[in-house]
Amino acid sequence: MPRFRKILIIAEKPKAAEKIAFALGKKKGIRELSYRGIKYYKIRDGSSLIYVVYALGHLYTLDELGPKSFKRYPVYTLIWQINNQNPKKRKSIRNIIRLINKLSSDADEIINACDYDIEGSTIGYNVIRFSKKKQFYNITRMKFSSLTDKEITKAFMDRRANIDFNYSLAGIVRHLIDFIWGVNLTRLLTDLAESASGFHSLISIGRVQGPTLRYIVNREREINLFIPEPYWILMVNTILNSGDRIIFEYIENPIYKKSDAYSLKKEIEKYEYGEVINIKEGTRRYKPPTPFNLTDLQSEAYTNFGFKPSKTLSVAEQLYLEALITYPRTSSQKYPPDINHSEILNSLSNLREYSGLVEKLININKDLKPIEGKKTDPAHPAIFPTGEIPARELNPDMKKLYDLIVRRYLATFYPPVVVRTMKITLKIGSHSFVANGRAVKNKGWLEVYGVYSNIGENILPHLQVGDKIRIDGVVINEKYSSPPRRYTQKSLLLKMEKDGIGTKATRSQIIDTLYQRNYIKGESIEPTELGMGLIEILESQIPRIISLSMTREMEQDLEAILTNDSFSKSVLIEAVESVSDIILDVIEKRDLGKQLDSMSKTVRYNKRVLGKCPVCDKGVIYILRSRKTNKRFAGCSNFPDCKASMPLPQNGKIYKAGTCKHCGWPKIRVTVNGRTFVSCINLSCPSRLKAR
Amino acid sequence: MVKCVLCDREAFNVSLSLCKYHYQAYLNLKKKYPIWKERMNVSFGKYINLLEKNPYTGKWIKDVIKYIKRLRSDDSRENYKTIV
Repeated sequence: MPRFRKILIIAEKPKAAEKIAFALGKKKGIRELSYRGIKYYKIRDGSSLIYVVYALGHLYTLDELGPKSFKRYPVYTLIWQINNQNPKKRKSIRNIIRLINKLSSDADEIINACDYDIEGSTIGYNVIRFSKKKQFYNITRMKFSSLTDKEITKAFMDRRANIDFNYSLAGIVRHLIDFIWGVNLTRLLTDLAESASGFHSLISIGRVQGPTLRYIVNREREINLFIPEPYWILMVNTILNSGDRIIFEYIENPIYKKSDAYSLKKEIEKYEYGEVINIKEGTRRYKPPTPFNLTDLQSEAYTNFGFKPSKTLSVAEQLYLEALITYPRTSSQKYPPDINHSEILNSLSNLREYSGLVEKLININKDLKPIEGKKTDPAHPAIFPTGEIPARELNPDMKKLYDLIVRRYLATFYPPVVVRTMKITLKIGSHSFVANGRAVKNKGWLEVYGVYSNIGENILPHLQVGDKIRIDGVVINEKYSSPPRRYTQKSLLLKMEKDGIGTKATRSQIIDTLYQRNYIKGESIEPTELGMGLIEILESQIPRIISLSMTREMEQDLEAILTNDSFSKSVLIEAVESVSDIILDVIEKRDLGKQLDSMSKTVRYNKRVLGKCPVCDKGVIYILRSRKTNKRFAGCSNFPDCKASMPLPQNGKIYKAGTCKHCGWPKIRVTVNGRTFVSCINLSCPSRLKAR
Repeated sequence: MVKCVLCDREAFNVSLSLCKYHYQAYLNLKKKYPIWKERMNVSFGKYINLLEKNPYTGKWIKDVIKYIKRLRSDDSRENYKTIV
């Protein structure tokens, strides 16, 4: 009996394994097998037997060697261990590892077919190096940017004879540095606070978390210290014989003196007519948008659908696993050189929503030359539709994102939007006023992408130089300069990208972590008291932890490993030295522990404060528990001088909700069993009596 | 440790008993007054009243304004004179 050559393919996720198996086994016969509940695939390909298995993301994670304790730091001896972090996945992960060991022990070739990026390479590399293997075997790498049959088959045929070691190494070093940085400094801060108070309260910090939180805190400081400055805008309402109205703005707006604005208004009001002295017409072209990279996609999905960046990434990954779009974790704004646009467009024309748009596009842009952006990515091209037709009904989020990606792809082939601009100058006395108009002359790419992006129009009626226009009122708008806006998830993501901290794949997770740690809150992001307090302390005591330049340099060093693996050792040593220096610097700072503890205490106390005491006007009403009954109630901090107290609901979470306008007592918002209600805590409040 | 009269932070300017943020707010308030005076011809009292009502005014600025107004209405006219 001839001996088959045994090939083992490791995919990153179950869906990817299924796609790979069905693409490779299409005409050869494929068997779906199961091992302890884990599905895998067997394909007979001539003299080869191909097995396709999957990992569930990281099968191995970093852990410290020795007993775990918050008191134990610095920790530099780390090992890769089977990932036990998620209890729901624990059993599956162990069974997958058993299956891989069973199949790899006599495999002639092991193929890493995980996503082609740093994380994917690290996942595959760890799985392969920790699995049981024969004495002689080959390791190869499949590189693909979409899960279409064609690309998978091509990636299998052209698989690389070596694994992308630099990618794996860069991933491993990043994991090591993040662990060393995050675990040691979190333990240091937590321990210092605990030593000062005797109570344990977790104070977590991460390598990229710190500088990101600092952006938000700095922005909040600017807003809190902002003083608006007044200015005035003078406008003239006019009415034409046709009945059309035009608003003209004073050419020297804004006016910086109130008296000047009002004396000018008085002067203009003397005139009944103004004269058109100039009409300037022009055209402006707006180029089509560039192909999507991940940041652009996250930003556009946030604007149009309100999707958080992490949600966009997750939905895009689902579309990728359905083979509908290319790999989403990319920085590139360019299409691959060997892309077959006509094939993709032909396929898209089978979808009713896009058939008309594709037909039009082919008529306009016969050469099918799209616009591209400047950004590149060595691993993957921009995000675009593969042309595969959805095999099943997509869920609403997937539908939205797919439509956005398809329309963006189509828009890159469309001509620019041409806008006709018009500037009319009106003379009133010795003063000039202008009205700016814009009208879309050629819709261009707005035809396909207009639902997601728009160019505002202001169409002015036809006028000629010398025309006299009747003045129908002079208006002054008093305005104020406004503070900088708070970051949204979109603008924060763009800021992180601009400053080069985090990676395209981790930035959205870092923002989510800041929310989970209760350092930031709200859609329009503001720091919590805890986040603000932490940055203040770190700025004064250990500024290196939140240093933007240090984080950015480390990111650049990590990037450098991709091109030269000899950097990895020095990058790692540098990180360990930095952490050691910080610990040695800080360990003696007992006052830092006191500050951290007092910050935690203040935050805890402030959470209990409901508002000012309306009885004594000196203390605050805050949540207390009775020593006798352990029931919670509201009492005055000025006790025993003030004996104001009120009962509180015993179930649910209580938040402060302002002051009652009827009686001046604090109001509370109570969330219990998923239901929320707001109420004044004063039992004899007129609003409560009325409600009864 | 001397605490800020407006929050729990340590006082940065001990004579005024203001932390670094409220002290900075106080300095901003004084620095911007000439601009308002020139543009609107208002007294300092009117200036802070207008700022207090303005939605764009920062929180720390409003804290300091309340503090100044409290000093003015209290018997502590001396303190008010020092700060204004």
